[in-house]
This record gives sequence, C-alpha cells and structure tokens, in this order.
Amino acid sequence: MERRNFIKKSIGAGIAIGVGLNTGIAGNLSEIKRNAYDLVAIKGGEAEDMFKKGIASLGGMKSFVKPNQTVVVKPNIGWDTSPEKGADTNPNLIYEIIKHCYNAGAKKVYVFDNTCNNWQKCYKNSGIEDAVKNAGGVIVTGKDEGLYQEVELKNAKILSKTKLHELILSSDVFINVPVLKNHNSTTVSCAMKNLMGTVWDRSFFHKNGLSQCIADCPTYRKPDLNIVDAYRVMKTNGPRGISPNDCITMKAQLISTDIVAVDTAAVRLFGINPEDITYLSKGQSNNLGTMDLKSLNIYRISI
Amino acid sequence: MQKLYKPLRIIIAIFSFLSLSFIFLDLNPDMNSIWYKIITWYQLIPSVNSFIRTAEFLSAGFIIVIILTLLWGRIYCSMFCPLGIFQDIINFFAKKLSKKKIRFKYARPKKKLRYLFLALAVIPLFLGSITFLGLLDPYSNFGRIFTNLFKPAYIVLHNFTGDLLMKIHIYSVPTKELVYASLESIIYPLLILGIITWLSVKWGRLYCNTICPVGTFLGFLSKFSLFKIKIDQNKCIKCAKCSAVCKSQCIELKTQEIDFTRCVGCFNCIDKCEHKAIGFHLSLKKDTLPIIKIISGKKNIPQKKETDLSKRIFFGESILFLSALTGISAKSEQQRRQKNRERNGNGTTRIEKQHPCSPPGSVSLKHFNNTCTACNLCVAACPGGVLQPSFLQYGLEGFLQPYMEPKKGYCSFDCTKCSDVCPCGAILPLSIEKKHTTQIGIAHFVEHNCVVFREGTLCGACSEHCPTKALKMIPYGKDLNIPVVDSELCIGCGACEHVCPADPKAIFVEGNIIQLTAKKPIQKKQKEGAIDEFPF
Repeated sequence: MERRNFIKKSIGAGIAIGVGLNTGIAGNLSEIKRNAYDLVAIKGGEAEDMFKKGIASLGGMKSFVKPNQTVVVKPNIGWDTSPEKGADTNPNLIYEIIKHCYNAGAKKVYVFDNTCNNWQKCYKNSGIEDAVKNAGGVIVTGKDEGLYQEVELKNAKILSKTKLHELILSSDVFINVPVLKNHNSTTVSCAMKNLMGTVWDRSFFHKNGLSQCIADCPTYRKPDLNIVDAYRVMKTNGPRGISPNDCITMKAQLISTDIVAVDTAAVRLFGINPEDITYLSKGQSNNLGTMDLKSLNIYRISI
Repeated sequence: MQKLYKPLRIIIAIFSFLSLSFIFLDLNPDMNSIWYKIITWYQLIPSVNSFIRTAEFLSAGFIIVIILTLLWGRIYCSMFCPLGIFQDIINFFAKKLSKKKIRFKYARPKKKLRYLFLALAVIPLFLGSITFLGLLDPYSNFGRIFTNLFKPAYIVLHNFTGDLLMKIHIYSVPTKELVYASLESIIYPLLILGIITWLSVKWGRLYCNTICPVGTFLGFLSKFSLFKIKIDQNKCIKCAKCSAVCKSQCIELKTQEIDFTRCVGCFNCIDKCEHKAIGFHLSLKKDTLPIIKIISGKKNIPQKKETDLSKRIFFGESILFLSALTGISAKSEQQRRQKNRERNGNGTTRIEKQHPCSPPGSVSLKHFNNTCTACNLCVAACPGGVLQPSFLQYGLEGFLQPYMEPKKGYCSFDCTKCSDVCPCGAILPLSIEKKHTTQIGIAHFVEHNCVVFREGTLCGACSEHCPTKALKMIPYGKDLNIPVVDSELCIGCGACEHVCPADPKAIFVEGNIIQLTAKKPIQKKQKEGAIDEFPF
C-alpha cells in the first residue's frame, strides 16, 4: 500500500509541476492512469528506449527504488556467448536499468548470476560486465558457495530448502531481468526460470522435478520488479543456442511486478499456449501471481 | 668484471623463475597466449620436442641453450631452469633458517647413476615413449609441482582474502574456483618436491648432477665449452672458500681442478674468491668446441668414443626395468576393462570408460602420449578446470599427462587456451573455427540411468549445456522429453556429462583414439521478426 500511495503522490506532484515524461495528449492521459497498470508491454524500439518508456508509465524507477536503498539486478548471464546470440540478457538494457536505479537514489546496484558456463567468460563475453561497470554498478560473482545462505521455503512443494545468494536476501530491491528464449526442457525460459541463477545447487532442480522447483524458487522472495528482455528472442536450440540464426529480432519488452503474469505474457509473445508450460500453473497455485491476463490492466506501448 | 657475474645470474634467474611461476600459478588468466610462448620458449625439453613435432623456427629456443652451453657451460641450469632455481631458493632459505652453517665440500661424481637416468629418459624415446623423459625433465617437474601443489595453495590464500572482503560487501576480489587434481596424480609431484628439497638442503645441486637428464646432457656438452671455470694454481691459496659455496660440489682442491660437467654456472666461487684465482678461461684444447672446428672448416671430426662397460650394463638393466613396467600397465589396463559396465543392483549402470579424451588439438592419443612431457601448463591455464593430470587413465604410456575429466569441469566451446599455451607440440594450435568441430570424443546416453526415465520428471541439463545441440530432446511419454545424441555433431566437450545430475551418470563421453572433425551444426535462419500486435 505504501508504494501505491507513493506512486499516487508522485503522480500528483508530477502533474502539479507539469513534468510529463511523455509528450502529447495521449501520453499525458496515460500518465494519469499509470498507477493501475499490472503489466506494461512495449514494442518496436531499442531495448533501452523501450525500457525508458515502459518504466516511465509506471511512475519511473523511483516507484520501486527509494533513496539510499541497495538494489540487486539479476539478469540472465548463464552462457558464454555474445549478445547477438540472445542467450543472455541485453547488456544495453542492464546499463539503462542500473542508471535509472542510481537516478532514483539507489546507494548501490549489484549484479550477479550463478552462471552455467565459466562465470568470468560469461560476464565478459555477454557484454554485461562492461555495461555494469560503465553504469557504476557492482558486478559480483555467483560462483562462490560462501556467498549463499541456506533458507527454508515454507510454501514450496519440493524445494523446501535451498541456498540463495546473499544479495537476494540482503538487498532492499530485487529486480529480475530475464531474457525470453527457448528452453529444451521447459520449452520457454523467462522470469521464473531466471531465478534458478540465484540458487547455489542448480542440479537439485534437475534431479527433483524441474518445473515444480522453478515454481517453488520465487516463493522465498518474489522479485520487486520483472523486466523481460524480448528484444532478441531465441526461438530454437535454447537455452544456449548455437548461432545468431536461432534468434528473431522481436523488439519487445514486458515490465510487471507479477512474475507469473509477466511469464504468461512472455510465453504468448513466444507463440505458445501458456497452458502448455507446466511451471506457470504451478507458480499460480503457489500464489506467485496470475496467469489470467484478461483480469489485468495491461498498458501497451508501440514505439 | 667477474664480480658482476653472480648478481647478473641472480637477476636473470629471478626473472625466469617469477615469469614461469606466474604462468603456472595462472595469476593472470586473461594474459595473451603469446606470453606463454615467450616465457617457455627457451626451456630445453619442450623446445626440442616442439621443434621435432612442428619444425617451426619459432620453437627453436633450445638452439640458444646449446650455444650458451658451448660458450660458458651449463649456465642454463642456474639462470633458466626453473627447478634448478627453485632448488637454489630452497637452499637459500635453508641457509637462513638453519642454525648450523650449511657448507658444501667436494664430492665425487656419480657417473653410473647419471648415465642410468639419462638412459632411462632417452632409450624409451626410441621405443616410442616419452613418459620417462617427462618424469625426469626439470621443467616438467617444476610445472607439475606448481600446478598441482602450489596453485591450489595460492587459490586458498586468494579466496581467504576474497571472502574476508566479501564479508564487508567488497566484491572486487572475486574468489576463484578451487579445482585440485586427484590424490593419486599428485603423489609423484609431491615425491619430487620432497626429493629436491631434501637433496638441495643437504647436497646442493645433487639432483641436477645425478638425476636430471638435462643436466647430464648439458654436462656432456659443456666438455666442449669455449670458456670454462678454472683455478689459477699460482694464485690459489687453497682456502676452500670456493668449494664451501659450490652447490655442485665439483671443486676438487687437492688437484685444484673443477669438474666442469657438473658446474651449473652459479658463479658463487668466482664471487667468493678473494684472490681472483678462479674464473672463466678460454679453453681451446684438443677436445674443445666442435663448433669452432666446424667454423674453421674441419667438419665432423669424430669424437673419441669411450666405451664404459658399466654404462652398457645400466642401459641393459634399464631396458629390463622398462619392459617390466609396461607389463604391469598392460595388466592393470585389462582389469580396468573387465570392470567396465557392470550393472548395479538398482538397475543403473556404472560407467567405466575405455579411453579418456585428450585435449582438443592433440591429434590422437598416440601423438599426445608420445609427445607430452606432462608439464601441466595446460592444466594450470584451463579456465574450465576440465584438464586434469591423469594417473593411469591413459595407461603407463601417458602417466601424469593431462586428460579431460568431466567430473571437474568441461571444455569451454570458445576456448583454445590449452592448444595456445602448449610449449611442446603435444597440443597443436587450433583456430577457434577448427576447435568448434574438433571431436575429441563422443557422448553416450544410458537411458536407464536418466532422471527422466527413473523419476518421470523434466531435466534436460545435458541438452541445455550442449554447445552444438548434438544432444536434442525428443518427446518422451506424455509431458516429458529425453535426450538423444547425434554423434556426428558431438565434439566430446563433456558439458553434458559434467552437469548430468544422475548418479551414476546417464551420459558420458568416450574419448576418440584419433580426433575427428564433427559436422557443423545445422543453422536454420528464423524468418519472422518484429511483432505487429501483442498476442494478449
């Protein structure tokens, strides 16, 4: 409720001093309604531009990051591949998010992933390490068991205990920035699947029921914001891909606080029926969010 | 002038030692591979080895070593040999730490032993095995000690610092992954470390003058050196200060002669002598310097061949010893294969491999086993931690040579580090495009070990990690999918085996005896791009 009040206040202030982030009548009208959006979908621009428009429609990053707070941004940096292969989150987007966090007054912005390939190579070749450093963020290893703390997941069905990265536990704000792509087992990998990179023992997921563990994982701490990078979308050979030919340039982005909703919308973008993705319904029954997009107030932006 | 020899030697030695330590501890993983080549360029055994395999002039650093030896004797042993310098360092600290003064005195040469070890190293070469040369080569021994013993110790220290900093939320010194070699493969480097420590404290450079085949070979060459260290009998007062600091124990004051074949050119004696009685002298006697004679037109003067009966006996004995060892390895190999593929009680199959994978670029197991001296530089440099020193995985012919161990890691798709750094031509250079299709082994899937089969849940960790999608998931039952291997696409990187959560593994890589070229993955271009309308 606090956040909503804050947003309302800031909207009021925004209108009062005449600071409109969008120009034109349509933009101003949409601003008035922005507190009500459950999901923002943007298409047609560069990743960083889509983000700027999208986050503005939610009241800017200051709706999520308060001054002096610490932020952890969790992109997908799982694979040692270059950005055009679409296996990792777009580095330009990460740069822009970190900048917005600092502009909103964040004290520190941390970025990490428990990568699949060699972590130094992943960080470097994905372009994310450079993007983070250029934006003034702090890049942190995800390959050190000492940084993970064991937690109990009371609402989980299978993953009742796991070790989570300390930044997920200690940061004030948790921003999840997955890349939308194909996955050989779960068909689609996106926001919920991305949280596997916050856990130390990934093989537990594979051993004990991948879909249920994916749906269990966010029950400990749901991300405060999910930003789905669907600029380049790997349509086949996922999650690693073998060449840029696996990708299409979809030029889309989704932003929401609801991890199930954002995944459901992403799966629709991917061209698949959400009912076919097992972890979505399991996530919904774990009360992580809703798959019913019709019940949501969706704001659609075309650039 | 002669007073400058020792400081100069020490400066060069420290430089050589630090640069080699730097690469074997992998202090800068991002360092350009050309530095590895420069730093190892003048190491005798790798250089000769590489020159024979590649016939490249760039790998001919050994010629410099031979020329230096023909000029001033075995200065390689004091200035460039990392194991030699390491012994000097041990000796230096032993002197500082011990209460009793460590003083050397003349000792008789152990000729029989020297030639036995030389024979042990060289004769198997003609039988096609480099194992013994590798086991005795000082550079390779240094490499094994540093990679397998000191590098893990360094990482523990590094991580200790890193962890402390992370406690206070400073993440700029990230910890490194601690990958250590199997216990049985570090026994030998431990043994050598023990031996050289003990020998160097007690008897200076006894290892170099008895066991080391390079020392013996260069010692032989130094008989023909243009300049030799000699005692001026007119100036010498037999104060014995020189022989007390001679770690080669080769100064015989009774006769005032120096056994120059054992002198490692440390110049301690020259530095110590207050009467300028000891120093380099031009030595142009009858058995001197074939090169000078060749230059002056008298080519190929046959050298007087000494026939030493004891030498022959040792040659014979060492051949016997070798054949016995080969027999042992053959037997253990047989036992290993028998154990292969035993069914466990619970219906799973324990995996026993026929052949390990050799690193990409090593052509074939035969080429690799016959060339690698197991210096383990590639093990130190491997960012994936998949390259590990073997024990008997290759059999005795590849003892301690690196192999791909998917338990520890897997081969990074876009990495050619091992072939870039290999100093001896065992792993030949590969372009990144070539690496992408170099098949070092083939994955084999064991369905009844697989999580999908046993638990009825999704997994696909293997296919997820497969860089060429040689592992595809096909529908299995109602909601599941299960991997299949396309062995034409598989390059044997071992990522699938490494990440397979099943125990025992449901997928494993069987090494290729000869490395083959895999097919390039099929690349279908995706048609559609930007969306017109949101589908929700």
